[in-house]
Amino acid sequence: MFYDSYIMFKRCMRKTMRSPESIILALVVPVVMMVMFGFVFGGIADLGEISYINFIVPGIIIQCVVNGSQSTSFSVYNDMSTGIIDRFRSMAISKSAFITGHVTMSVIRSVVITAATIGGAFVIGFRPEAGLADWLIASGVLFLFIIAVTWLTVIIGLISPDNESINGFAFLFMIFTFLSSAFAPTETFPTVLRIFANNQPMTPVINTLRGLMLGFELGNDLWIALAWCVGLIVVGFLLAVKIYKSKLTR
Amino acid sequence: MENIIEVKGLRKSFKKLEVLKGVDFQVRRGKIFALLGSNGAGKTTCVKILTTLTKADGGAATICGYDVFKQSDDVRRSISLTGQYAAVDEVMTGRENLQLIAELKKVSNFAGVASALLEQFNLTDAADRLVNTYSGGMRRRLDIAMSLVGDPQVIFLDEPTTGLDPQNRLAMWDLIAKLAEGGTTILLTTQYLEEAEYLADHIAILHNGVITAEGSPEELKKILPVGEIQLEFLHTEEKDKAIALLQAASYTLKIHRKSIEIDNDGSVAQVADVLNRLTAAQIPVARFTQRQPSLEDAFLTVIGER
Ligand SMILES: Nc1ncnc2c1ncn2[C@@H]1O[C@H](COP(=O)(O)OP(=O)(O)OP(=O)(O)O)[C@@H](O)[C@H]1O
Ligand SMILES: [Mg+2]
Repeated sequence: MFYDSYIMFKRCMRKTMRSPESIILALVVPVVMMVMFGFVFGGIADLGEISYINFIVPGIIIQCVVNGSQSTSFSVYNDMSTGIIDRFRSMAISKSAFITGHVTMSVIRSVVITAATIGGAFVIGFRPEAGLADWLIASGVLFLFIIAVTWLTVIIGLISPDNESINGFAFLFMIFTFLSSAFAPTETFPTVLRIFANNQPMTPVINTLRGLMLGFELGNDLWIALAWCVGLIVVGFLLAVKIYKSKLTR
Repeated sequence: MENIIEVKGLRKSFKKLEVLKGVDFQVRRGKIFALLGSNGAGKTTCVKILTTLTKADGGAATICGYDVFKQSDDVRRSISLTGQYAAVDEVMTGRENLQLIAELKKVSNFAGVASALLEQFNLTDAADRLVNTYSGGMRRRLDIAMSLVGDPQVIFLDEPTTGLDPQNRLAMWDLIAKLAEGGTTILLTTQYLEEAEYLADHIAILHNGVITAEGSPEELKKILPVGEIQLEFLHTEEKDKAIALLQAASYTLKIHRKSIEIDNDGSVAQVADVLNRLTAAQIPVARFTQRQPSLEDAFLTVIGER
């Protein structure tokens, strides 16, 4: 099983390396966002002692994970909608290898993109106060968030009937990032949006990252963020496996 | 000679649509077997069940002695599938596509196997180009080459020539015939009677969910309808003269407003005789067509006989 998954991963890797545009795009977007938001809105945003660029970096990182994972939906969908999956299925190889290959590739790509985005943030003027322990915890939370998002994008790739639907889901993800604490404190939102923003997974994850990096009081955010991530991973994994199996035994 | 595939009473429905209503057939080792049927007859469904991709609702099937439903991993090790829609990866090269399958099948020396297949399928020049630059015929060839990795005992080819131009179709026929000479058993599906006749050792016609007729091409020829020659004339007088002439030569004719039809079993001698008589009598023929029996005719005849 590990061997089959490894070969499947190698295949995904080769295909990813063949179209580096998608990685470059996934990197350019967050950097542009940081520059735009940091310099354009930085002047009017009044957040007391924190500079606006420091404030938005955690949100940008989350956004970059979400955007960067979209390509997983497309590659899963492409494989499922051509005869390729039938060929794999008619071979004596592990059934899950196909999915594990995609998931591994997706997680690695997101980690790389995230690390590069954080690097870019430093260049632009991001100055966190986090110590080593804070960085380690932040990385752990981010890693879990990456895995959770990966399973969601795999599910989207499995259930989407066409490319347009995948774009529709991508748009939904975008709404979630904007209706979170990514670009403004949720207290400034109108009531309905605030309730939504405070109770969706991205807000506690962003708050946790922000707290760790800028040295705020964390409160319950870390635990809520962990609960969301672990919950999404478990549900996402089970759901993805169930959908995949039902697609295989038509 | 032993049967390598045995199918008994295979049934499959999609919701209320009964696609297979009890399909029976056997395939002998090392032979080419053609499953002939029109669009929507259930050929792909049959192939998918036998290649373990779809579950049947009932019936039994064995391949190489393994139960298709219970020993699917053993079956998968014995077969390979070239589906109706090309299963090649567009953004990989031909060589990479082949090596991927070789690695998944744990073939030792996978690079060598890939090179040999590229050579065999005349793809060496295009080996390191991305597949999205390949023509339809090249894709088909690569697809089949991928199926040959690891020397499976049985190869399933679902409509291997659909979408190919006449030249590529002939090349594909040659290729399939060569594979069978090498001892591989081939089950192919097709919508074309002529293709089945040309390639197969044994033909089974799938219609309305059951095998309505089967046999060697020679056996089927006897029960299938004959084709016909059609002669068209510009003027009624010419037609009338021709009718008189041919009836005198004891041909049975079907007479239409501007044309006449003569039953023809594909015999060239008969065609020559008819044309010679008309030429000798100086009767001008405006148009001459020879018609093969269509698959629909074949079905109608076969069903009519039952
Ligand atoms: N997954 C499915 N769900 C519902 N109906 C299906 C499914 N697969 C096939 N069918 C139906 O079953 C029938 C037989 O389909 P099948 O693909 O086996 O035909 P075929 O002989 O391969 O036809 P073609 O020559 O067009 O490839 C068709 O009416 C088709 O619509
Ligand atoms: Mg078909």
